[in-house]
Amino acid sequence: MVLDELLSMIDIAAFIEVFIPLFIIINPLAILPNFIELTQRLDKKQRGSVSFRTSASAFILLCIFVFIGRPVLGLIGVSTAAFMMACGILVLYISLGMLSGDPPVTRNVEFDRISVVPMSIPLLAGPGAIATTIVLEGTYGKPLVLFSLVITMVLSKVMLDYYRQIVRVMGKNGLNAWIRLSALFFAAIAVNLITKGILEIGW
Amino acid sequence: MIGPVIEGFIALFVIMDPLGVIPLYLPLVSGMDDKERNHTVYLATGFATVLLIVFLFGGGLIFEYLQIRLEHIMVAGGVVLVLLGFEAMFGGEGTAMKRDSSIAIVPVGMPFMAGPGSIATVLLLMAANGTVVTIISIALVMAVQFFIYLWATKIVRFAGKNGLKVMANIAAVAAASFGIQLMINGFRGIF
Repeated sequence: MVLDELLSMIDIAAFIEVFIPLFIIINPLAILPNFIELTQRLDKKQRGSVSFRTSASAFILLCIFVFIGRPVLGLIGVSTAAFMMACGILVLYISLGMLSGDPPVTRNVEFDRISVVPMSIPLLAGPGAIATTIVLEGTYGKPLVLFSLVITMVLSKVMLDYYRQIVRVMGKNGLNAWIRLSALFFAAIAVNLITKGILEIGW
Repeated sequence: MIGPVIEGFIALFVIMDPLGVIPLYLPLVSGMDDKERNHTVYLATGFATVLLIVFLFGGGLIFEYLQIRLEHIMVAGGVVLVLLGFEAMFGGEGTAMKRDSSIAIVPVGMPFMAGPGSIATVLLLMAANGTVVTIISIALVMAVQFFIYLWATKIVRFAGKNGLKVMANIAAVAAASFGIQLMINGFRGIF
């Protein structure tokens, strides 16, 4: 009963149009290798704690952008176009690094035992995620985006917790293939962001 | 049915141009032993085939939901090629692109074996010839590519270090040129 009411309130098609890009750009699967390496000396309970903190902090960060992203940009005088282009360039750089097997994100970071920062930011909630969140919020409104973010982060935590099964199913090559394939899509998305920004400026 | 399948095979083979791409590929695998090289070819072929099939069935959805177009992939692929050109010309033994089998997927699988042009061709063939014919064409052309790449490694043994360096330099210029052209074509489609 409640489900029916809930479902009739949410426009399923629009939800999918928000959820899929968000999930792809946040890309929790790509975090798995880092997560595994980072938590190898932790026990199950500690790992659960890390996965929770990672997804929760990424969620909070993206929520902040959902609520005050556009206003703050307006306040500091940065146009959406400029922001999109900047994020696009960053994503392009990251994705090219991912493609050649050496992601710039994890190059200079020191992992400590309970560190959450390199994992949730900028891995889960990186420039691509931030840009996509802001763009989607502008087009589809806050409720849908927030809802999609909740689902994405819950799924992320689940995926991180069940990393063993996922690795067994996908294999090391499968995971690697996914990371590189998604890097390719990220590069295309980056190009899209950059060119959308250029078009908006009206060159 | 044979006709369209062959048509598709030729179209794909021309656009994939494995013989032209081999000089780009060889410098990347020069430092590997046979086992790793073959492993790379297996992975690359598998990945390229899967990539084409994914676009064959889901191309529309991918483009719609991620809000990207083929032109964006063209630009991205072009950037990869240009960087590859730099690599091949200025890179030594230990450069940014790791010389292990992780290169199987990028760049060997994509864009060497199945680049944006191939993806576009697959989509066109789908529309012209239908799903089954296109799948068969893809299978055939990937099989041929597989063997070409596999046997290409025999050339590595004969070329020697200097031969490879020469190839690498020519390939670098070719890669960079193709890359820029790909980017230009992509941009034309966007703007």
